[in-house]
Amino acid sequence: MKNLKATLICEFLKLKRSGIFWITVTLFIFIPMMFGLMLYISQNPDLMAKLGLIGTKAKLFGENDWNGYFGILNQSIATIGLIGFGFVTSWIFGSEYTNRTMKDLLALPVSRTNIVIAKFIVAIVWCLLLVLVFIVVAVFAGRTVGISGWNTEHISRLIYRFFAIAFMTMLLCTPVGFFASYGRGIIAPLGFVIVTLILAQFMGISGLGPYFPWAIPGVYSVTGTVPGMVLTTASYFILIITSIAGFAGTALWWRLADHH
Amino acid sequence: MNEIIVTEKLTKHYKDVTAISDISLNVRKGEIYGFLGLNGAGKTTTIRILLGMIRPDSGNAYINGQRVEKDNIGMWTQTGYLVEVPYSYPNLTVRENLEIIRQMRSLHKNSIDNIIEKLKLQPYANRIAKNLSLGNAQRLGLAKALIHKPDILILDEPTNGLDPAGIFEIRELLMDMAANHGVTVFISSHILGEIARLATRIGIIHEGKLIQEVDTQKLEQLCQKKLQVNTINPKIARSLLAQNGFLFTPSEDGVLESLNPELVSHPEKVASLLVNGGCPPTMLAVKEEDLESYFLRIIGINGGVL
Repeated sequence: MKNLKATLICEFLKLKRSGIFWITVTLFIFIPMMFGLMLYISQNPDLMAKLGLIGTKAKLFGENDWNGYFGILNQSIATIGLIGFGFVTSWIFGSEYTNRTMKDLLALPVSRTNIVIAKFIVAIVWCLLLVLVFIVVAVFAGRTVGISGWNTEHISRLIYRFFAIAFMTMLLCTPVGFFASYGRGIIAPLGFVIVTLILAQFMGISGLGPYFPWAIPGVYSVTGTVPGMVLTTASYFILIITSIAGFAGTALWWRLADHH
Repeated sequence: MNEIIVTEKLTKHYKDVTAISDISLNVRKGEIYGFLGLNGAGKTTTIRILLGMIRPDSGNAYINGQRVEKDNIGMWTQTGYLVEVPYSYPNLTVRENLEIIRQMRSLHKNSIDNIIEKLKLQPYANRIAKNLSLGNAQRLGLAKALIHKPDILILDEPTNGLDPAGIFEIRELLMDMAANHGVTVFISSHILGEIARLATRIGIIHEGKLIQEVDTQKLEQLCQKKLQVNTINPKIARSLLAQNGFLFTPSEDGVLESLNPELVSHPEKVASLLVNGGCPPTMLAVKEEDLESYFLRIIGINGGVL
């Protein structure tokens, strides 16, 4: 436990000094602000007509109420989260290889599994912070543009659902950690994230979304009873097993692989 | 326990390439063991196996009597290491990089100031690592290896990038640690002169095989000595010497050379012979093989030409 604490302190120190952290925070502020802007455009038909393509996109926001707005936010966090959280995990694991500091971590009186755990904890904390920033800015933007029908109890339920989707997306970080370690850098895990994102879209369309881990948060974000877009108990198991497999794979790789 | 670092028939292949084969060596307490070899000879592979970073295909490595294996992390408490070019977290300062190691090794806060002072890193303590010169980055790497005052040091090319003053400083530091504090040092290098000055014993590795181990003190005896003679007419001189039973061979630049120990000990015999034969020497010298030539001869490159 003492070792884990020391490892966590080290990981947070690295995070504190990295420019990447602030870049991701800025992006997760910028994106919901854009959603707020789109919502504002969608509320003003004259402006929507003048803005051409942007105006057309703004129509996607549909109903100008909190339900419609959160529908967009939920789908966004399922896809943007997949990329954003994947990037965060890629950086946490992959930068040890790109900075060539990995070898400094391998012959210390600290177990490599503890280092992997600390890295995933930092990834989760970092991602949670991004989610928090995202939702605070999104709600603030929604209030600013004057979405009608604010009800604290209802909004709390919407936020709870949003966090559930974000959490499901975060669970998919662990295989990214494995690919960053196996690929010894940042390129391989980012490639993996892009492939899973494309596959998730394809699986969603083909009705297999509830059984493909990377499509599950997206399916959950879509409210309704459309066949092929409803999660089953098996979906949750698949998600959890994928996450556990990703963690175990990463820990085993650190422990057993040859580190050149 | 006198044998601190031991390897038993270490072998490692990368696909169809044999990186090291049957490497067996042992390093005694307080010894500075110089591991000498050309680039790609297998030095770093051996060091990575010693540090548990890669697993051998066969054979075992022991540090302080404990077998090097994945779960035996306690053995690294008293081991300091530096593998190849030392890299640090580029956005962290020198002090912060050392803080990472201090935390990982559960050391007292003073240990950072002590090692910064010892390795003369005070002017750079708050400089971020990516802005360090190669020499100071190397010092930071050494600081990370030495911060916990280890009993065992495993260093791969530790003086790379250091200027002559820095090399001297590190050499003195390592020699002091070994002689006065009983620290066992395993140091790899391809710089022969450096190893000769520092090590108490040298192991020569070539193409993955340990081809010789020798005490540095005995090295002088092992280095070949040869007698070199030059005259106005080397052809006549060579024939004159041959008639008296002394075989000389001409070098590329026409100088006559002999490895005959009798002649090396008594060059005056050759001088008398040539003077009496009417072919006086213009140059007569006993030349001792330097370590570089010895090394090249041992690994079979250039036939050990002096």
